[in-house]
Amino acid sequence: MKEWISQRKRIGIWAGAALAALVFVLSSLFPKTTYRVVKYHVVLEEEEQEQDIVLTPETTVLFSFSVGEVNVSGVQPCLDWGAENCPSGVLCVDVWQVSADGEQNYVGQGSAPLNAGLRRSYTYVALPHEETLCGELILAIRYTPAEGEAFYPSLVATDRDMGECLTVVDDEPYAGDLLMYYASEQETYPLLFDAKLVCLLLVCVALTMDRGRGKEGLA
Amino acid sequence: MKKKQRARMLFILMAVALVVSILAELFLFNRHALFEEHYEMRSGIAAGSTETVLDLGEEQYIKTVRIAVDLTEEADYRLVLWDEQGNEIGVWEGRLSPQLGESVINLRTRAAGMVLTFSEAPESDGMITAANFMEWSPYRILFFWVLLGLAAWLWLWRAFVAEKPEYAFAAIALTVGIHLILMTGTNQISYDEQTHVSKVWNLSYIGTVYDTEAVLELKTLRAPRFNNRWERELTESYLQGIHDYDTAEVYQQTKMIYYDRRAYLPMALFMAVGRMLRLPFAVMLMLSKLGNLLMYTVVCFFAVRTAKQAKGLVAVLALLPNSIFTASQFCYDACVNSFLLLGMVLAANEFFAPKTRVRPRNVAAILICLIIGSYAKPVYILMGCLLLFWGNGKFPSKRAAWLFRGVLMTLCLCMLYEILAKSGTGGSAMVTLANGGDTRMEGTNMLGQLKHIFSAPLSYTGQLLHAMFGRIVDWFNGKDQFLMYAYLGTPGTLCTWIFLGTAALAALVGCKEEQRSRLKTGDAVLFAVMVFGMSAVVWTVLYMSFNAVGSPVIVGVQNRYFTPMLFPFFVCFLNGRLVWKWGKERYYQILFGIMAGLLLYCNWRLGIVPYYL
Repeated sequence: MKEWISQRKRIGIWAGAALAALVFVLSSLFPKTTYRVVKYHVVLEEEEQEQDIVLTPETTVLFSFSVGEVNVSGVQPCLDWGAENCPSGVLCVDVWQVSADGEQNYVGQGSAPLNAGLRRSYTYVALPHEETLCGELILAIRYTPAEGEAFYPSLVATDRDMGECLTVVDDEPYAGDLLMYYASEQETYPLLFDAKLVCLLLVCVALTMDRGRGKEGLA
Repeated sequence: MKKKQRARMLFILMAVALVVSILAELFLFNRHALFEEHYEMRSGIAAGSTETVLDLGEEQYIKTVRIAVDLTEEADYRLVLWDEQGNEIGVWEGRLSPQLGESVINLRTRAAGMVLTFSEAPESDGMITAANFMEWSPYRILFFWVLLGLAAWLWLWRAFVAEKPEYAFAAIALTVGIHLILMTGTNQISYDEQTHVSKVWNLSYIGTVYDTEAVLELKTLRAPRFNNRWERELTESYLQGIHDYDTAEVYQQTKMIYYDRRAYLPMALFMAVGRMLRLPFAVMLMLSKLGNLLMYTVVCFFAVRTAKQAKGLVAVLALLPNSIFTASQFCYDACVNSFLLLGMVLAANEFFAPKTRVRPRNVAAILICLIIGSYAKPVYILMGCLLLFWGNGKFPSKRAAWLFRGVLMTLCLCMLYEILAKSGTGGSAMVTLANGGDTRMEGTNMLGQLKHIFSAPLSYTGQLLHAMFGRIVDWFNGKDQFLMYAYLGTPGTLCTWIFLGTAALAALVGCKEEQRSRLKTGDAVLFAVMVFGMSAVVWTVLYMSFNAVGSPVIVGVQNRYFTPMLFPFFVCFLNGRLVWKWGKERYYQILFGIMAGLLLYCNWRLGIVPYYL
């Protein structure tokens, strides 16, 4: 009886390890970084000059817009961080180019440190691209704070000059519609990491269990 | 003495201790209020005037001086006291915060008058008040009650303490830790506390976070600090006033708890409970810290309990003042230190029985402890490499042994790789290395530093060894302080000597009533190599992340990073030869007596004296 229980426990441990491995493999084969997206069309109220979105580490702001034939070499978001703060983090911008048939092709990532000398500034971020970057684009703007940094800048949408909020720097100034998607959560997958650890931990435990000779088990 | 008699005697002694504490409070700390006149004298501070005089007429005992003036920004002030002859007898300097609008100086000296000078003239009127009055400090009373009560308990229940030292550890850790929590209040005096508070507060919510103004001030280190109990009342009242959910900043966060936040779970849970119970803001913060302390105490309790040898050593290391301090504040060190201690104790148990098969549940417990302990600082998972050196006899077969070693290495590497490339977000290790580096220091770049190390390995090795051994020497000659209560300061080099001496005593000398055997020479060397290796890794990681590329010195290495390595270090000195001949009870009385005394001395010197004396 004891031997039977011990064997069942051993099988259970290996089954658990296999399940964790399966979760890990499936998550790795079908990776996705998802955003719980809330559409946030920037509509300023009368006399309201600006709205802002705090760029916490878990927040990504997605912009979708079309620049036509203009080649985009960089973007220049406007960020505000309060009078007393001195940011030392990095602003990252991922860019996708949307093809004619709607496929989103990842182009690359640009990054730049914030200008700590000013309370509010336009941080120019060069975008990587081999050929021209134009047409319909999707930008994902994130802020990675420095270690120990406890405040986050706000991405500002302002009507003082709509183009200044997100200025596309190149031959011609951007003058298209701006539909902002505010990603309130970037769903990370800690379970991916946990699945790895659980699998390896259970395998370690299973390897110390006797092969059904009965005496060693979890008891 | 029977148990009931001991309990009755303890109750009587605790009551006597309380009376003694109250009498000490009355006759030691309030003697001036007892035997001299109570008074309160004021002088108005005129707007636009940088200097204000308060003449007491004759020399009087001044307990406190309160300065109250509305300000729009911080103002420095200087208070000069004079005697009856007009001679200057003392100078105090301080800062008035606009948030409180008041500053209280705990003077406790005699003077005939004073001059208050502001660095910049205030724009509105104010008041300066000198006073002498009776003051009951619950923190002082509690300190003496704890001191005497612990002494009574360790004496009366010495047989129980000797049989179950884990309970003595828990009693000392909890009483000293709770005293620390009560003393420090809302002051942010631990390392990077604003970051930890931020993570704890956010973790206490699921989904939607409400940042009140009080929380924002804590998160940005703008909350006012108190220097005595009167300022504490002002500070707590101020924070409570701005802790208003109606004006809170509201935002969304992910519902998933990533691994690097899990060390904060006990604190977050107690914070959430405090919020649900609608406790005052300051009390909610202290309750959250209590969660951290309880987690640390419970885990270390089991570390002492499960240790097959040298329970005294485990208890002494668990009572390290630095660890008790960080367990009483917003800090993830409690999780790191406690779980790694338990993991190492369980691992060492296996090394002491090399021919006994390891039990699967022990393996599970060791690995879980190492993983949880490494959540906040993944580099510590390398301590698990000790398990690679378990003999084949510990496994069902040689094949299983080698497979185990392979899988364990993979687990360690997975945790380490997660630092560089978070699996959940598809991060890139090379990008992290290229961009990594603490931006608080100029010129940091992890990849650049790595290249520098590999370009001059011998030079770096020399630099590393010099830094490592130099630091150890500095602990003993006073140039560096091993024992630290973060920004509260250090109790001094003598306390370092006392602590390390006590740990050495607990390691070298054992009771004849307890099982004592030494590690095999090979295993002792292994432990020593692991300690050395981990220390080198810690220094190197800090060199890569916190120092400019090519820096000739390594800065940023704090002594608390070496706490998890203390047990593996001291366990190398266990031996069966040196035996304590004066009984097990006396053995544990001495160990716990020294550690309790050391902890209470730290609380007195770094907590009571600067804030409540």
